[in-house]
Amino acid sequence: MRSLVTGASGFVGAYLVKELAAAGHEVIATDVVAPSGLPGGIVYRRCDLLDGGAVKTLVADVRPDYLFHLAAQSSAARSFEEPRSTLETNVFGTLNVLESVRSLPYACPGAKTRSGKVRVLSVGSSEEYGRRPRSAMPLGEGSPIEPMSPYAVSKAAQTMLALQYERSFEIDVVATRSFGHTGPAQDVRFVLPAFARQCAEIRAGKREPVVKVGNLDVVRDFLDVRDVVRAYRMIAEDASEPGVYNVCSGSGIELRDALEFLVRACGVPVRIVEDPRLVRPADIPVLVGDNTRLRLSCGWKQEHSTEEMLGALFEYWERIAREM
Amino acid sequence: MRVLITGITGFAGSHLADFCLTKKGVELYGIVRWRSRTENIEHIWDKMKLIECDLRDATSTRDAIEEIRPEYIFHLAAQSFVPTSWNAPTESLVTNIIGQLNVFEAVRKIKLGCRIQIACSSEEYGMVYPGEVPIRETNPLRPLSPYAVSKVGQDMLAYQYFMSYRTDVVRTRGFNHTGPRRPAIFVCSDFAKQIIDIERGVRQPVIRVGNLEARRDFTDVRDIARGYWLALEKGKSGEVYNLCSGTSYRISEILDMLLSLADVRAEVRQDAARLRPSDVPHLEGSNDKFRADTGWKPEIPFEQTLRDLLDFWRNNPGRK
Repeated sequence: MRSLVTGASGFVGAYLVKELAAAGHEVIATDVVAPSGLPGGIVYRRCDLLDGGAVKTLVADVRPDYLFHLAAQSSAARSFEEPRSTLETNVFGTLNVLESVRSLPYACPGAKTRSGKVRVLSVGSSEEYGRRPRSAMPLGEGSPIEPMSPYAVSKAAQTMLALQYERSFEIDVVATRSFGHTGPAQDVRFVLPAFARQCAEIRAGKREPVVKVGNLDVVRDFLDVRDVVRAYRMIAEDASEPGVYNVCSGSGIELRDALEFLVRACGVPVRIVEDPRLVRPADIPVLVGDNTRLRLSCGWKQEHSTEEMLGALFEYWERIAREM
Repeated sequence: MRVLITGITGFAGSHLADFCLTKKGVELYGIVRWRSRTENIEHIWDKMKLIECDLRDATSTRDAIEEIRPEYIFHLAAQSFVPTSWNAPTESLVTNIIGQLNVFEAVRKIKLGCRIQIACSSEEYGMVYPGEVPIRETNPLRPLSPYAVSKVGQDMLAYQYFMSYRTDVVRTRGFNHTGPRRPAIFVCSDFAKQIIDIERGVRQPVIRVGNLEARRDFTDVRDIARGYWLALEKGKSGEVYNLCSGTSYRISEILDMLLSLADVRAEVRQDAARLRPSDVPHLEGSNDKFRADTGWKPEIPFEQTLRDLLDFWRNNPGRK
């Protein structure tokens, strides 16, 4: 089994590369910047996914059985500043990936996958669902798509495109709608690492005891990144049906409670201050997913609890704060 | 009132221009690209102002909108031909999604308080199951072509700009429409032109067709143009409306109607090149929501539309 991973230098990409290698896949990692600390035996090939010709060459050379498409502009906040490049990176990057697989001569059949076709896993986002009432939670895959940020629009379009290629061509596509996830090394423009870093720096005496926050009364569904990449591998290997799979825990946590956990780990009294720059326009109050499809069709189950996830995150930032 | 039509040189755009010019006090502007074909608007050349602009270029778009400062924008410019989107998917997605993003960003950055109509498409519904007809606005979107995906992208982007910035946008999902000036790459017009060519004796009595089994909801383009106007005059900000007649015809029925209206006899031959990689078997919309909010209803009987289409090809045999 040969797997090509796009966005391999990103936060989730780095975990997925390790997950696949450990499960016996031959892994080819691609990105625009080389990943740091690739495990042995994993090949890096540079490729800009916006260059359709380059993507075709890469995919034709690598001849993957699985293609995990993780590369994206992944910050909703940034997408308000840069809507065009967000749409381009996410939609046209995906288009080039799908076109390159469509033109593979062996795409169907001949791949070492269940279906004999190359399977593309397109990573979408729970943000595609947008703002739904609390009573609609947990959201199933058939929920309406009402994106609230350019990032969410780009992911909705990406998923639509991936599913359209699946309907129109002999291409095997599975699309995830991934809910919140975190873990060590996630960028601090995401909410939980931002909290964890501040708390860890306060504990290490490297920061005033003030934590800056955005909206705290927001409920999100978070998974530990290790559970997420295992879900990606299992969806690729085991899902018998193409289509959309929510990747989520199935239960929500209020950001206030996540912060409280981290503040407790900090062990120092802190002041919590709302920073208007961290409050997004048109925010989504509640986003909790239904993972029934993922559990039933792939046999996946959550292995790391919320506390474990937050604990690992805090430890990571504590180590960094100590070395500051 | 200053009114801007993007895609004014196109089929629907030119009919909308005709409609706008029947309204008192309308100052009409159109955006055209260098070397745009202008045959659809030559008859109203001195009644509007054309600005050269490429909507794929953010600066060009912003300059044009700043110069015009419209109160109404009808955003019709698009790569609108489904088969082209199979051959050039990137081009279709860029023109349709990025073009619209540039319009929105221009309006937002200039802080222009204008209403914007977005011409979305019934193609967004794509794979429609039998129990889902007539299709309502809440139906899931299962697009079947890159063109349809690009229209979903436009649709979602318009929703998002309304939610994030209260951009005053009204989305219309237009179902099939036809009438005079429809290029012959679209099915009704393709048949009508072949029939007139046979009538004129410049074509063997053989009509080449694609999928005749598909059922489509057709509206006269002039009713659609009036619908676009009503969408901005009376439609609710942020809403999406189906714009359709609510009546579907099998493509074979339309061919028979055209043949009998023209009184032409011809052999019908299926042409593999006219078949699409994936096609929607049945599209028929519900226009209840649009009727309720705007009072619109289709007025031109379909037979009249087809008659006018045949006359168009009789009077313009050299057109494509």
